[in-house]
Amino acid sequence: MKPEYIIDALSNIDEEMILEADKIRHMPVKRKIRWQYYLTPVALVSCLVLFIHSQNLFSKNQYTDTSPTAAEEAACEEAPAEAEIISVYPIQPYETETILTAVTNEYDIDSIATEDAVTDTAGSFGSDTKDSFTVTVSEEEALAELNLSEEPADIHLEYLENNGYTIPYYIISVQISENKYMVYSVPAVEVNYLEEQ
Amino acid sequence: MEDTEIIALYLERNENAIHETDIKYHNYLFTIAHNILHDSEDSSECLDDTYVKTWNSIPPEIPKIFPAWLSKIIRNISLDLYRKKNRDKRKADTYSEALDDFDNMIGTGNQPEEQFNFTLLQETINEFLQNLPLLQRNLFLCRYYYMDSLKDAAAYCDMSQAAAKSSLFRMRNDLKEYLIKKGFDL
Repeated sequence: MKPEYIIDALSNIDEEMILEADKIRHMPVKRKIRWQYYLTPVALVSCLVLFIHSQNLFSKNQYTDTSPTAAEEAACEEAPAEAEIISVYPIQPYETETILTAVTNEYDIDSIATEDAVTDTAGSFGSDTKDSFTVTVSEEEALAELNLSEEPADIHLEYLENNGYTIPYYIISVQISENKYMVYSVPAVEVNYLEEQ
Repeated sequence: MEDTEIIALYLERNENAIHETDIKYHNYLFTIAHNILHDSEDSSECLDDTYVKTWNSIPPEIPKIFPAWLSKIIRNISLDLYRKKNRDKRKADTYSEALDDFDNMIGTGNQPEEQFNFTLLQETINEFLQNLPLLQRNLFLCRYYYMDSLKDAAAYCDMSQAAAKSSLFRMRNDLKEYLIKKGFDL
């Protein structure tokens, strides 16, 4: 049998079947290309993502002049010493922490807020709360307490946490070598000594 | 215009019948011809021949389903023209693909041509198609009657091309078994 016979034989099939088959060829486009309805939102979202991504890339690649201006360059040249000091400062924390612990452990912090603890003439704790204190010790008194052999490189006031209290301390830095500092902390309020060091 | 009115014009020998047929079925018929011939000029020629044949056939014939009846005429005319033009060569088109499909299905039968009962083959294929589920049957007819491409036929049936191809393969095998069962030597 030749394959042409089957193709020719199909020309004489029932007309109802021919018409039925033709109906699906004229069905609405919606059914025939359903995948496009799924593809369209995907394409839109992809375009949106690409657009946002390209915007981000554009903003990252935007040229910003970060080179120092003439005035900034001049300022840098004028203050090289200050920049050097800042650069060596990170060496200090280990020393700082050690000293702070050593010094503050000598005091009975809980007794600071009590009326009995106030013996100094420089001020009183009358208006203080239990976790906030005003300075009652002068810088000279703090330095005298340390009995330093050298002049301190820096002395400033900081409020530090100690056993749940915020206490003012004098932070006193003493230069011991070219880029190394010993930092002491002395309470800036009167406290009771638990024991003699 | 309704089909019955167009047929009535043919029966009255009113030449307006061809014009009305063209208005209503030009695209439908042209597509069938073009699916086979892949040539607009040849398809238009087949369309004209179809109108002439329709004019000559009604009366005495009175089609029950006018578009299906017209489709058979233009399909036969288009197939004849295709074979005439491509007597010694096979092209890469839907008709050749269909031919290849059935060629692979049939194999090497030794039945002499003079013993071949073409009318019985038509009836057997008709029976086979009647017993197919609607979706499969429509796919089969889109592909092998209307000569739609596999892509279009699959889309018409809301199937993927792979699923359509697989379904057509199974139907051809079933048809082969059915024909053998009915006594055809494939």
